[in-house]
Amino acid sequence: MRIENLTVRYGAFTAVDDVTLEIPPGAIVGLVGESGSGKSTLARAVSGLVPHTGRISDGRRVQMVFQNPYASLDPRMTIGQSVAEALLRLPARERGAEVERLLDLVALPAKVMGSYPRELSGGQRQRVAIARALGAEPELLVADEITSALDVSVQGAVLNLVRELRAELGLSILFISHNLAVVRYVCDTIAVMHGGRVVEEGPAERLTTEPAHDYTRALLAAVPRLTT
Amino acid sequence: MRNRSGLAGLVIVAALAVLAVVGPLVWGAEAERMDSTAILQGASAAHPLGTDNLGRDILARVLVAGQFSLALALAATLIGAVVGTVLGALPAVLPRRGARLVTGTVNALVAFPGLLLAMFVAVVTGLGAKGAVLGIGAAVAPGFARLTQTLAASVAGADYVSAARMLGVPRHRILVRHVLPNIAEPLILNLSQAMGASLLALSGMSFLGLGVQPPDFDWGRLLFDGFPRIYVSPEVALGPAVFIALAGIGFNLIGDALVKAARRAAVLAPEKVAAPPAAEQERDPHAVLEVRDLTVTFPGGVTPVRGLSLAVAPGEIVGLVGESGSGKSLTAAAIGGLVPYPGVVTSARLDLDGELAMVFQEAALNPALKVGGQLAEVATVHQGATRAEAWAKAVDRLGHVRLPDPARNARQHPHELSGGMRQRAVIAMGLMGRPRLIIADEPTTALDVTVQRQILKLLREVVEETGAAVLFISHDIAVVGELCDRVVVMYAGRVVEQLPADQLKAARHPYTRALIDSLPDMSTDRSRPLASIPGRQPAPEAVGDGCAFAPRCPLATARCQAERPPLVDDVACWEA
Repeated sequence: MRIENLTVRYGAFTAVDDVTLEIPPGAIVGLVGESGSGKSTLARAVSGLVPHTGRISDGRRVQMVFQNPYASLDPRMTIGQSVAEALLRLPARERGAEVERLLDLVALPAKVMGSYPRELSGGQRQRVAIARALGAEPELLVADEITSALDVSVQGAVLNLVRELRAELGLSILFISHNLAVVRYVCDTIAVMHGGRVVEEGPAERLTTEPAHDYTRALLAAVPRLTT
Repeated sequence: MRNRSGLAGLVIVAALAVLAVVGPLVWGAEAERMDSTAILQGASAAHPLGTDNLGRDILARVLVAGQFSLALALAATLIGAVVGTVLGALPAVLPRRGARLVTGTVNALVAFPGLLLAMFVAVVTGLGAKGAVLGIGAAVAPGFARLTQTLAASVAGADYVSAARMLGVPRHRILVRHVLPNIAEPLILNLSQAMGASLLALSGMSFLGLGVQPPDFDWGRLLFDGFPRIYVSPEVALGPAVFIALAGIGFNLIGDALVKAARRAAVLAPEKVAAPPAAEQERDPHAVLEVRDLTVTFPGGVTPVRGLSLAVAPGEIVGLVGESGSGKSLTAAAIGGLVPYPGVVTSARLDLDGELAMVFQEAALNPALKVGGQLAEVATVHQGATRAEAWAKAVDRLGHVRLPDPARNARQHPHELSGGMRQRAVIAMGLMGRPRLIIADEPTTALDVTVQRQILKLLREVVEETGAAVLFISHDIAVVGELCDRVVVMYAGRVVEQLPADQLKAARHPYTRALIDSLPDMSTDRSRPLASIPGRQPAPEAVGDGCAFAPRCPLATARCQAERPPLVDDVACWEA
């Protein structure tokens, strides 16, 4: 999938400015930047949620997983009903088995189907949101800050899941985060956004060890580290 | 419903409902019985409210009229609610132009006086009960439509609706499955109040002669009949008037109570909590803050902080780390005396040596007031400074936290500053006094990493300059490790380990170790899965007798399940 010259304007304000980005099949591309850099707007444009100019080739089936799993599941629907919304193309009697398969894919037991979102932890809800997105058989999964609302102790498990899904399903993923350490761990290539533009792009290992752009260097220097 | 006026409303409405059912059965014949010998009488033992122009007993007629009055009001309310909800929901499913047309129509109707609309419809559809009901229904509908529209718009912006749109769920299905169920509650609350209003309006219509026509009668019609005689025998008009007023009050009381109950869950009276026996220990003369056995309890056995002990030395930066629900923020609130009602704070010792400043997230600034004024307020209220002195001090403190142009920034509103500048201003507010301890609750969580780094540097400079100590509360163990001298780790309301920040990588408690291992940093091996902790932290009311971490701990033994490890030698673990 290729994003070409994508621009998003809100009135006179240009949130995303002429961004071109290649997402090869089966790759995880990371998008880092600070608030206002345009990374979330780019994610929403790719997902078809905001109007934009520019071309997105082969981007027919895109699904997005949102930052806050407490807001992205309807509080009045059971987990089974929420996931089944992705399966309206199937006959009703086949949906139950497919929901079960999707939940298994994200390592959730089938018994959560009858639960409501409030009965699950943040990490489990985020797994449900991922399962629902996978139900639509996306060519590209957009993950927008999917671990930043989660507690540290479950963040690792969700990041592992993202990597496993790529390995098992060959999924292409656009992974958006403000946390460089997280992006470095999960992604193959990283694009750094600043003021609506991609200022640097490259393989994760190289970009984090030999940054070329000043802004990337500033971001790297600001990552909190444990001493010793 | 735990409030008295709501209960009163419920009793009134229940009584009226019973009257509506049994009234015509018991007094039906009496209400219709004409007596030419007793025409237009006042109150007497046989006719407590007198008789009408055909000699019928007015009390019996009032009691019988309840059924018709309530039925008409119910019909009008339901018509209004159904029509209004449909009108309000339509824009969500119609194509753009149709949606605009409906919205515009609703806007125009809302602006139109309700009674005029009701009279117009009533006259057009024909004088009588049917016309009045349709008229009042038409008057009620625009309010419901507007409410539905507003509520639906807020739900339509929710992430779960975006997710459904992306999955290709059709619009009508989104409306029925996602939007309507999530706005039903306030709409139903509104029904009760609309019912009261409809009843009053229908009575008004009948009273004006535009509603129920003889031989039918409702309370409004009885009032109409009795009104010409009000100077001679007021009781003939008072009877129906009292019932109309009673019904209006009853429905409105219930409506108010429902709205209040929905706004906040009922607050229960606090339970008595026995203070733990005061430990006879000498207080630490060197500590600026010393807390022993701090416990915060909420009604229903919810205990988010359990016997926490903590000491902070002057000039020391102590990090209090934990996941959401660990009790770290309530610990800070308890030290600052800010635990919300109905929480109960107990402690064996809570000594604070000197002034305390609380620094919250930058959102703590009031958006409507100038930054300088909010800082100056601290000095005028707490230190008795004049306005000019206070303003000068505010500008001085803003300079201290390195705002670029303090005199100008003080005159600006919060939205004119960047997030990082606002956080600096909040810190400056804490420095208006001479704090010996600064409690900072997640002050950098909402900030970008580059700005976070600057704020951490500023906090360290403030400590060096003023000698104040800092209790820094955060969920981010990496940030805490970088800023703090010492780290206190909380889990399920208790301290599980405390250690110098530079020893974090050598932590002994399995929870601390797992927290650190599950956090990727710039040197994490990308070829191996990250560590993670299975399960979840127990809720504050579900903490058992044993170690709270045992169900998630790889080292847990039978002893851990049964017996809680005390904090010995800075770590609370049997196996460490």
